[in-house]
Amino acid sequence: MLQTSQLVKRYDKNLAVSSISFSVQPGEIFGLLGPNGAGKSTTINIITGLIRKDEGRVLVGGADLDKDLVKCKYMMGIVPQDLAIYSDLTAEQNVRFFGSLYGLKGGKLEENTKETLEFVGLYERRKDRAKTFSGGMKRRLNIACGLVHRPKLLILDEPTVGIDPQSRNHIMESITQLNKQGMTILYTTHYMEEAEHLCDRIAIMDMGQIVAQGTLPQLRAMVEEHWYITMALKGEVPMEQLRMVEGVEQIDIRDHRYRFSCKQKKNQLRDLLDLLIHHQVEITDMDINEPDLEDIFLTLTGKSLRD
Amino acid sequence: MRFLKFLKKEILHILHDSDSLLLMVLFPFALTLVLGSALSGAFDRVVNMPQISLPIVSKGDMQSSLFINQGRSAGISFHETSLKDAKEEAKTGESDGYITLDGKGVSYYTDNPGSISAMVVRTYSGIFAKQATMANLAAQKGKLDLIAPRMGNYVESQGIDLENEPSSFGYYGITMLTMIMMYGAIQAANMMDLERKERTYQRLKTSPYSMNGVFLAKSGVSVLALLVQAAILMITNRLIYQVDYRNMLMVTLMLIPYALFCGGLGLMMYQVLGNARSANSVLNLLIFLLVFIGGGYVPLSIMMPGAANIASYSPVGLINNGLFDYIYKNDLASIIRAMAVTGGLGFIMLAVAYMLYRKEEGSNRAAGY
Repeated sequence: MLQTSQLVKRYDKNLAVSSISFSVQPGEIFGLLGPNGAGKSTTINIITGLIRKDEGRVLVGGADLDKDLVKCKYMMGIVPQDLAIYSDLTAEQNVRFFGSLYGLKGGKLEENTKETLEFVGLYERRKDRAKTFSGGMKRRLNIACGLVHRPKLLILDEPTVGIDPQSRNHIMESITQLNKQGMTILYTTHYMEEAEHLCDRIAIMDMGQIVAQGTLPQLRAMVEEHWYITMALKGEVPMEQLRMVEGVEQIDIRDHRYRFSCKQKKNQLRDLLDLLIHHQVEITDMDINEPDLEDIFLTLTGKSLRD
Repeated sequence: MRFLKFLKKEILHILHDSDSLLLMVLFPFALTLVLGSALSGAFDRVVNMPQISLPIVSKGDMQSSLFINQGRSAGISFHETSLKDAKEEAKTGESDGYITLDGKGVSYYTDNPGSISAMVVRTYSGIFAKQATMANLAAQKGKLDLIAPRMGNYVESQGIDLENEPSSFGYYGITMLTMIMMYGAIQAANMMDLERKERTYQRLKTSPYSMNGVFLAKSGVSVLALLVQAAILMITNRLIYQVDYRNMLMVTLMLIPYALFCGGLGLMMYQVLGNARSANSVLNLLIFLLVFIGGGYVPLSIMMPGAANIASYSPVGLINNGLFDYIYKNDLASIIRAMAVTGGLGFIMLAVAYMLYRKEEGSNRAAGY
């Protein structure tokens, strides 16, 4: 459905996107995962035709973006990271207007508008102006405006930023539902949990490049010689000494628990436990996990996804 | 079809901004009232003559009777009285002075020699005295036919045709109209900025709808909105202040090129300066200057005699003068010229705005960087 090949984008001397190549198969949810500034939005903006690329090629549904821009645009729907709705218009007016831009008219436009508003749970509030909506409702309206014309490829650029967990879950359920109906989705996020939960395949981006891509098992296999130990600790934790233990690459604190990213070495766990006991640190819980995306990102880039 | 949908959306935005709409009508309406009332004197062509009534002390002879009777036709009412009473009236303020008429001549006593009534009495008395002298000379020469004074209407006076000049309300009924249309340039800039402010520019740009269509819709609605506001203001002025526009439909049509000028100015400033805040700052200053030079606030000829010609250096002045000539003199020459100049400038500015707008396509600025 979507194919990018060697995309490059420069801003003055800075390389915002460097040789990005990936493809999105019809009917799948493909994730672009990376921290802020990784180049995700720039990549999206190139694909949607918002900005010009310096090098590379983009094919949407087989059509070349450079040669058949309008045809490509008809196939895509965009849900931008920033809310892109008219606050003084009603929900219905917003959806109807954006639907009309894609050639919808008459009964078809009305039908699509109604169905889309029902889908995002805003039909009851269709006559209310967008400025009266909560943040979560505005996000849902933002999505509705992007899918009213039933695009073949829906591109969502960090659609859950800054909203409450309930609205976030609603959005994620909606995306899953859309995908079940056959829509191809390109989803960018810096939330690991979203990518893990939603995406069939994920490309991990950092500093304008894709550092790895594949399904979650494939990405895990890239770090198979690593293991990840999570511990709940009480007392003064000797961080510097723990880092000195052979094979320990990173110690991350997540939700008050210490997560050790380690290249597997003999007696490694024993050395860690000995050190903690020696410093009278109480270990209240311990777990050895499969690597999650955060771990994979950390191992591949040396940085935390949350930085 | 999509273009009509876009037009409808733009109109909805304007209608939803009721505060601005109200301001665009109420503001010039209120200014017309304030300026029209405050400066009504500057536009008046008629000076009201006071009623003149003076006591006269005379011998009661034929000359006195002639003086009194002919004074009546000059608008002066004399009543005979004694010198003592005449002085008393002048002292108490019942009259502005008094006249004495004797064999030596006419004497006028007043404490207010600079007043209009004093000037009239002095003029009349002077003429009467000279005529009397001429009559005496004629009698001495035996020219009896020249003795009878002829103080008839030997001076023919014609007033200025007041119907060809606007009153103060008539003046501001036009200048406030063109002024508020100039402020429509700010409205046009803000309309273009709306997409950036609401971040909907991204949706428009990534949709298959042509960017030409976006620009056309924005320009079209900004011009249309100005004309509708002008029509509302004209109707309001006509109803409340009885401002004469001769033919409101014609005036509205005449304002189309000017509306193009105002809209084009706003759109061009926005594209050149890149943001609404800077554009609004510059436009506020520019509009004030153009309206001021065009005589929008006060006729320049009042402040600086001989400065009336400066107004033609401002498009606002051109349009104002053109409308005055059409409405009050039924003369189309200057309005046609004003339409050509403002329409031409408006078209050029729109073209510049469009070129800069198109240059944005695919630029980094389009993505909000």
